[in-house]
Amino acid sequence: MRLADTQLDFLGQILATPAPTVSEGMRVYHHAYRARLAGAMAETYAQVWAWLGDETFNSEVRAYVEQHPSSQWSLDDYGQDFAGFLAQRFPDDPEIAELAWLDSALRQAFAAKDADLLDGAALTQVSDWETVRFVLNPALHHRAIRSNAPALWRALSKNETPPEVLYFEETSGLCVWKTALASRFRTLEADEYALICALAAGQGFAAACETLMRDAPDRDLTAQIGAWLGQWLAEGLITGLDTTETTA
Amino acid sequence: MPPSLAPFSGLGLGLRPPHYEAILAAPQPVDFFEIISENFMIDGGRPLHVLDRVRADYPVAMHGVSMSLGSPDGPGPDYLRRLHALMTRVDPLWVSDHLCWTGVNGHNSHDLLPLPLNEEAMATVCRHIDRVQTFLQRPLLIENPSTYVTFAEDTYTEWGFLTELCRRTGCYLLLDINNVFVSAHNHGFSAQTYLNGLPLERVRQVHLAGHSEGETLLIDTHDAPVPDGVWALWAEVAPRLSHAAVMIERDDEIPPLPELLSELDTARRLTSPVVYV
Repeated sequence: MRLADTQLDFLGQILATPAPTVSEGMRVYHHAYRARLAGAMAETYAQVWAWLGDETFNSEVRAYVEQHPSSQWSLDDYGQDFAGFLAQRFPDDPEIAELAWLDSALRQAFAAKDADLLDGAALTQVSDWETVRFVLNPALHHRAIRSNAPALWRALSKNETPPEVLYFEETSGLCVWKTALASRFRTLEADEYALICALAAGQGFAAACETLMRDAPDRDLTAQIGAWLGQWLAEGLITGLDTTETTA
Repeated sequence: MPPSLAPFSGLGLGLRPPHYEAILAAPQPVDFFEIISENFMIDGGRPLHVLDRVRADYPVAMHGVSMSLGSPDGPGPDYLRRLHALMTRVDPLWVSDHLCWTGVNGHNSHDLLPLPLNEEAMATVCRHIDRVQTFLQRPLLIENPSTYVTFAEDTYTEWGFLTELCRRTGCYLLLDINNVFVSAHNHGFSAQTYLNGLPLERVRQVHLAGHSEGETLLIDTHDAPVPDGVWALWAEVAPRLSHAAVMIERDDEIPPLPELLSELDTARRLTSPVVYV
């Protein structure tokens, strides 16, 4: 048999369910594959595990592993679709997928490119606010949420009793990023999150602000935007300035 | 052929996260640390920060688990680019990986899977070793794996296969004594015959590790202290490997650092036996 065919057959036996019965050796490889992927997911999804409990978490991980053969060379990258998988499995419990997303985003931020805080004095050098774009933290991940998953995560990570689950009418934003080698996260109200989304999509600061104020004509957000900007600088959500004029 | 690789005969440990704090806090009685390359082939974060600090004080060997030298495609360009970047950052003693394949057709097992030991596999592995050595401008160290099956297509013994790999590619060897012990038990060959059949002068590094017991097979789990049988095998061959770097390899159930340092003391005694004059 050609080498590639031998390997396809071998891998097929590893991925097969139930385990092959041909030899103890093949069962060792069959078991090791699942144990390794499940171990990686247990490491990444510690707070989902704490929230679901051993039985449900292990059962969901087993189901995920059977449906998602690994395709990356890095084991650390395995399981990044688990939040989406859980969203389908538990459509009435959005906090589960949101906890999973937060676990995964914190893990990805941990290994993302590092960046220094931007000195606020840099803003005083800006001569043309119409063209300025902010460079956001390279570890930034964000998504909309509709539960109090961040509060649940904090409690679970400290082995404290989590608060009651809450679902909100209006979605808010959840941002994860990294400063000084430490991953961190924060919930953002809808307006602030909309602005961050626009900046993360590459929109210029002036244009993003204009859009936000046009969408909220009954409120004067000027002072609020200034306050957000100061906070983003202080907490490292913004790490650079791009004053190059573009036509994009 | 790649350039030759000078020996380094120190005693070392794997650099693992549970020990970061202790290693950074005080000098440790080790001559080098070995890293799992893939754990540091990342864009940033604390692991690279720790690695830079460790590298400032100790030589570092890079040990990979994902090169998949035995698969038809071999390592991909992203993998090699990241490996090269890490190598440039670390300036390691050497770069090693395994005689194995990890996946095929875009699927990855994240395991060190066994190869049929025949001419087609030989040509495949040689082709990829040549490619990687040319890309890195360094010779590779190839480690013998633990295996749990053999193939009807085998035409080489594993030690014969490794010997021929060294001859054809100029690569060196990372000899895992536990893996020899485990595979000898699993496949019924003599560990001594295996070791006697290897070009020991090509060995640059030795792994000492533990294993666990399956139904009838031994399984390379790296989650236990080095057992007596592995120590005994090492004691037999150590006098012929005084030129090699030796380390205790533990990847799971990682004990506090002093426990591993104590195991390393055992390796030190066996590696440099007391000479009575």
